[in-house]
Amino acid sequence: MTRFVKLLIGVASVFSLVFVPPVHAQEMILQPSGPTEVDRLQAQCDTIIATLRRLHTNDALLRVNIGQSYNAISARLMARLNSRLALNRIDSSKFVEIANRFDEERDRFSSAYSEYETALSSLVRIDCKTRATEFYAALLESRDARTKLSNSVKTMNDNIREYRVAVEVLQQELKLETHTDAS
Amino acid sequence: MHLKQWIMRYRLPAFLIGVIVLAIVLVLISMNVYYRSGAYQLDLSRPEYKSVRSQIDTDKKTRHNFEAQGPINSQVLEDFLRMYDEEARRVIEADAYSADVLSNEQLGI
Repeated sequence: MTRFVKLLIGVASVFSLVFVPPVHAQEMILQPSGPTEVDRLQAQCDTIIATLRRLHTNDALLRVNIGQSYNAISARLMARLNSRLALNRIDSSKFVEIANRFDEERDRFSSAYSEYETALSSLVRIDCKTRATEFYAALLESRDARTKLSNSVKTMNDNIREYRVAVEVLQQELKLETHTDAS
Repeated sequence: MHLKQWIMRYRLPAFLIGVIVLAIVLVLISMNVYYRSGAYQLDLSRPEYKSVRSQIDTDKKTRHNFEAQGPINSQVLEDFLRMYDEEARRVIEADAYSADVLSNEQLGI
């Protein structure tokens, strides 16, 4: 009996290896995880598309407003303080290094936004009622692009905080120097 | 040779056709630059952005300008931090492009 079961398992294994077509990992990822998701996607299609369109519009507005703020922080504040520190012969290497990293991240942010906007524009053009699987694959692509964008924003926010800490440290040093000179 | 003769014979129509062709070529080049540079992604004058156009932050008076020249002391840095904090608050509090917005749960899938 045990031999028969082993034989059956062996035959089944060989059969599955030979006759079942291989499923690539990428294909598995690009499919919604079950028929219920496809059903839900199709049923909620209009709501989802309306949400995505609203998100697309708000993201574009945010990109313009936040881009102005990043530009102001870089050009009107960081660059000017760095210049002023250099003119006063104060070591500004730490400040310049953070400002450079911030500017590099701004470039990455611009590219990431461009990638995300392209992905989201393509996504809202797909009819999720008739092409649910294609829509889901495009949604995953947009999600990845948004994660990249989100990471870039986080890095820039960290740079902004880091620069602030550097200014505070310098301020404390200057205060200490003033106290020492006075005493 | 035939073309040259035709142009010499019909100078005004040839001139008009030439001007129209040149205009089309220049428009095609500028549209190409507009799309390739990504400028269209930031162009909120497009009709679909009419509803949010009023929310564009255009108030330049609220933008701070820190002087690039002058002394550096504790008070100057205090003023700098005040300006810096106001500007930083705009971007940090915006919590821009949070990754979970496109999740299945948020979209109700």
